[in-house]
Amino acid sequence: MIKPMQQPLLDLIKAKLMLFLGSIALGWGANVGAKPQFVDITLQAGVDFKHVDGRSGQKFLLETLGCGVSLLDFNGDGYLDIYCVNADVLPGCEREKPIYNALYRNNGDMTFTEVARHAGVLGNGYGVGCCIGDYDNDGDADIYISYFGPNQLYRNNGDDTFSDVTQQAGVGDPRWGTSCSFADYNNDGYLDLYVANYVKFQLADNPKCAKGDFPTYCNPEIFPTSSGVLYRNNGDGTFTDVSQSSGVEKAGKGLGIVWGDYDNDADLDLFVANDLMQDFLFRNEGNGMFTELSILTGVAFNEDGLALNGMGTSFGDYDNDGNLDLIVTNFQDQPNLLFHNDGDGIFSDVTFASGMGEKSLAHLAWGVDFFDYDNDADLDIFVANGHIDNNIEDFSEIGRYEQSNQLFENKGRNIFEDVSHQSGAGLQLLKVSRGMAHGDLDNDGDLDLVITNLNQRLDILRNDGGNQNRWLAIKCIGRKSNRDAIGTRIRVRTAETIQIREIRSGGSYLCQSDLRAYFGLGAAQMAEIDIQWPSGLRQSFHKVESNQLLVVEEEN
Amino acid sequence: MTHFALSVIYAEPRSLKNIAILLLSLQLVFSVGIAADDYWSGDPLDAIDEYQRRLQHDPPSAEIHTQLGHAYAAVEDFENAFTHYQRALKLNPNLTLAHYRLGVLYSNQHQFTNAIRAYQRAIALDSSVSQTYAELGYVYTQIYQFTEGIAAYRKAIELKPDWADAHYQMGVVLTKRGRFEEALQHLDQAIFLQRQFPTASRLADAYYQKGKVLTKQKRLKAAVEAYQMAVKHQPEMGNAHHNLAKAYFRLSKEDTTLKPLVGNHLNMAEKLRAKSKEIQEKYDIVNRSQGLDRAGAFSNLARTYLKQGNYQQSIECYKKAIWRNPNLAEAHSGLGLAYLMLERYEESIVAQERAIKLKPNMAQAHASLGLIYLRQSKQGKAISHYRRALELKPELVDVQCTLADIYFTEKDYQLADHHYQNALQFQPENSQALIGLAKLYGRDPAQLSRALDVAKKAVDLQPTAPYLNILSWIYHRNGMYSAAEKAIQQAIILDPENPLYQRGLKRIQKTIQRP
Repeated sequence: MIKPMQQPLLDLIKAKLMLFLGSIALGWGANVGAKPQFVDITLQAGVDFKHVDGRSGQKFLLETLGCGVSLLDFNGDGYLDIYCVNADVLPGCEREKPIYNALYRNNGDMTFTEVARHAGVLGNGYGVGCCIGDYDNDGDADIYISYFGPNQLYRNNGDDTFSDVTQQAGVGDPRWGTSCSFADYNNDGYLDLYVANYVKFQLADNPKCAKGDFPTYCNPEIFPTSSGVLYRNNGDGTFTDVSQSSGVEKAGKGLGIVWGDYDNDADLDLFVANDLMQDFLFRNEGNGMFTELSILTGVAFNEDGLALNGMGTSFGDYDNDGNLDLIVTNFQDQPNLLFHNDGDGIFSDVTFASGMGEKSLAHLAWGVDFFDYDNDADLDIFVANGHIDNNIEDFSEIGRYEQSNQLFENKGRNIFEDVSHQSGAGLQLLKVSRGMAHGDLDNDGDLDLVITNLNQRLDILRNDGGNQNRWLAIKCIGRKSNRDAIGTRIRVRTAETIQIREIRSGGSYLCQSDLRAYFGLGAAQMAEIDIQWPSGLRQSFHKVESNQLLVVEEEN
Repeated sequence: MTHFALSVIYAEPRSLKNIAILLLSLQLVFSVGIAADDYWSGDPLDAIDEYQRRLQHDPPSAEIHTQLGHAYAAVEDFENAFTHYQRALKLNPNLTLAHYRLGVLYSNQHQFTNAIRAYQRAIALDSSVSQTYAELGYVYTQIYQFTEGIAAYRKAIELKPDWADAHYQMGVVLTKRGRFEEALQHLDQAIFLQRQFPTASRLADAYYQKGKVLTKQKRLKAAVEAYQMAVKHQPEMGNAHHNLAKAYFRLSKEDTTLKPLVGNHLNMAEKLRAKSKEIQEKYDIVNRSQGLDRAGAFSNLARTYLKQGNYQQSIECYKKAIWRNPNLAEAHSGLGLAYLMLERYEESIVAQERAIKLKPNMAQAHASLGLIYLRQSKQGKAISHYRRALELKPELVDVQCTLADIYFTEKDYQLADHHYQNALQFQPENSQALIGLAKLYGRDPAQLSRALDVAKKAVDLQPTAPYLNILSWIYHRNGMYSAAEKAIQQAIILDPENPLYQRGLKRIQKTIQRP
C-alpha cells in the first residue's frame, strides 16, 4: 500500500520550495548551479548539546571515542528528532553539573526543544553509541545505547515517554560497547541487535603512554581484545545472546559496524571495523549462522595486507551497479579504504584510484556514510574527522587536533572529489568530530547532517540547495517484516539510472541516520520503485512522481 | 640513498623504517661533496670513538663533525647527531653534506618543514645531486604533497636516469595518485635497472608495487607474476604472500587448481604477520622506555630479531643497546651470537669476551665461544669454554649434547656418554642426546638392543632424515634388514638428494639380496 505524505508536510515542503525559488527570483540565487551549501544552524535551532568526555589529564582511552547521535521520529509527527548520547566524569574530573543524554524534539520549524527528562531517556553512565529500532513492532522508535559499562534499551511507550527495559530484554552487556545496530538477520519479522565491543579496559589500570616527552593516549594494541555480541529477538520483548552459536563471536576491537546484503542473497551480512586489527565481514549463511570471510573477500586489511585503525564504516552502492560497496575510515596517515563490490563476492580496493586515498591521509576519520547530498542520482560520501591527542601539534607537523570534515562528491567513473571547501561554512568548521548522521530534518527533500564532536558542541548542518535536483523519499512500514522495515532493499529506476538503498539501523560510527530512504533523481520527473521486503515480498510502483515522501506499507 | 630501498614487509612502523634507513645508510658510500674514502663504514660505535678522538687532536673540521653526527644518528642518538651537524655548519655553512644529513635527520624525526629547508639549502649549494631531490621528494610525500613530491623525483631522475630507487619511489607516488600507467613505466624501469645491480629486497619491492598496480588494473595474471617475482626475491615478504593469495583466490573461480595456493600463501602471510607483530610489540616498548631501560628494550628487540633470523637488524639493535648501556653483558653476548650466525667469528669472539669481562659467570657467552671455536676447528678451546659453561649452568642441555658430540668425535666415549646422560637427566626426551647415545651404543655389539631402543625413541620424537639414517644403521647392525631398508627409505623421502642415504639403501639392498 502506498500513501502520500501527510498534508502538513507537503505544505511545508511546498512552502520551502517556494521560498527557495523566491530567493532565486529575488536575486539571492547565487546558489543556482552552485553546489548545495551546508549551514551551521545548531544554535538558532535551539540545540545546545555539548559532549563532555570527562577528561582529567589522565588520558583514559575512553575519552577518545566520542559519542553517537540518533535521528529518530520518536513521537511519530513526521519530523526527525535528535537523541544525543553523552559521556560522564572520569576519575580526577571535577564537575558539579550532572551529565545527561539529550533528546531534542523537532518542533516542525527547524527548531528543537530538549525533552530528555520528560521522556525518561537521560541515560545512565559513560555513554558511547546509540541506534534505533522498533524492536517490539509496536509502531514507535525504541532506543538502544552502548556504554562503557552496561548498555541500555529504552522502549518507547507511545506517549512521548520511554521505559528502561534493559533487564527484562536481557541486552545489558556490561563490556565497553561502541556501535550498535538493529537488524533482522534471520528474517523472522523481529529486529535482532548487534553491539560491537572495543577492548578490555579498567579505569583503575590506566597505562601511561607518550611520544617522546609528550603524554598521549595509548595505542589500542596494548589492550586485550573484546568481542561483539549478537542478540536474537525472541519476539516477546526478550533477547537471547547468540554470538557464539551464530559464529560472530570473534576476538576483535570493534568500533564501527554496518549491516548490508553485500552478496545479494536476501539476508543481511555484517561488517565490523576493528581498531588496529583485521576487520571482519560475516556472511549470513541464511540458516542463523555466519561465516567470517573478510580476508578472501578482500576487506580485512589494506592493499598491503596491513591492519589499519578501522573506525567508522558504511555500505552503499556508489556506482549504481546493484552491489553494495564499502567504506572504512581510519587513523591519520592511513587512507579511508573504499572497496568496490565486484559482484562476485570479492571487493577491489579502489582507495587511491578513486581519489579518496590521497585526500584522507592527513585526517583522522571516524563517522562516515554514503548519501546523495546533491540529489544527482549517485551516492556521495561524508567523513567526520578529528584527532585523538589534544597535544598532537606538539609532536606532529601533519596532525591537527581540530580538523575539518570532508564531503566527497561522486563525479562518476569511480572518482570522488573533495568538495568540502565549496560546500558552505558548515564544512569549514574545525572541530574534533566523531559521529555523523544524515537525515532530512526539515523535510525539504535534501539530507541534512548532524555531527557529534568530542568534548564540544554538536553541529547541525542544514543542506541548502540539495533539493535543486529532484528527489524521492520513501518510508517503509513492515507488516510481516519488522515494522521499521530494516533490511528492506529499495530499487528506484529512472531513465538514467537504477539506484538501491537498504533501510538500515546504526552504521557510520556510533550513530543512527534517517530510517527513510532518500533518492536523488537528478532531473527525472518520474521513477519506478521496486521494494524487496525482508519477508521476501516484493512490491512495485510505477510512474511515481518525484519530489515527494512516500509512505509504503508492506502488503499482507 | 637513505629513504629508499626499504623492504615493504608487514607492519613496518615509521620508527622501524627509520632504523632500516639508518642501517642502510651505513653501508653506502655517499658521494656528495666529500671524497668517498673519507666516509666511514662499519661499526658506528667505533666511528664515534674514532671521530671523537680526531676532534680532540686534530684542528676543527666540519667534515668530521658531519661524520660524527651521522655515526650518532646511526645509533639513534639524535641529540648528539644534531649537535654535530650544527657544529659542522657553523664551521662551514656551505657544506652540502651537512645540510643534506641534517635534512635526513629532520625527516627521520618527522620534522618535515625543517627537512625541506635543509634539503633546499643543500640544493641551493649543489643542484647536481639527484639524491637530495629524491630525499626532498620523499619528505613531500610524507606530508602528502604529492605534486611537489613528483616534481622532486622527476628532477632526481632527470639528473640520474639510471637510478632505480628514484624510479621506484616515483612509481609508488604515482600509484597513490591513481596514475597507474605512468606508475607502471617507472616500476618497470626500476626493475630493469635493479636487475642489472640486483639487491633482492629492492627488486622485490618494485615487483610487489607492480603487482599492486596490475591488480588495480584488473590484470590479475600479470599481477600474480609480479607478486611471484617479489616473493622469489624476498621469500619473507608477507604482503606479497597476502596479495598473491587474494589474486589466486579470484583466479581460482575459473581455475580450481589454484585453490591450494590460496591457503599456502595465506598461511605464509599469517606467519609473517605474527613475526612482524612480535617485532612491533618489542619496538613499542623501546619507544616507551627511557635511559637504561631503553638499552634493555633495544636488547630485547635485538634478541627477537636474532630469534627470527634477521641477524643484521639484530646486530644494529644490540649496538643501540650497548651505546646506551655499555655494561649490558647480555647485549654484548647477544651481539656476539648474531655475529656468529653471520659467520663473523672474530667480531663474535670480541663481543663474547666483552660480555664475559662484564659478567664472568655468563654461561651463555662461554657456550657461544665454545661454538665459535668449534666452527673454527679449535677443539681444545671449544671444549674449555663448553666445560666452563656447564660448570656455571649444567642445565644447558644443548651444550651437554654438543660437548658429548665432540667427545664422541674424539673417541672419548666415556665422557660422551657422561654428557649425553647429563642432558637426559635435565630433559629425558631430548632427541639429540638419545640419538647420540644410539650412535654410542651402536658401536658396541653388546649394546645393540639398547641402541635400538634409544634410536627408536629419538625418531619418534623427531623423525628427521639424519635420525632415520642412524636408526637404519642400527637396524642393519642388528640384522633387521627390512626395517633398515624401510627406515632409510623414509630418510630418502625427507631428503631425496642426500647421496649418503642412497648409498646406505644400496648397501642394505645388497645385503638383503645376498644368499
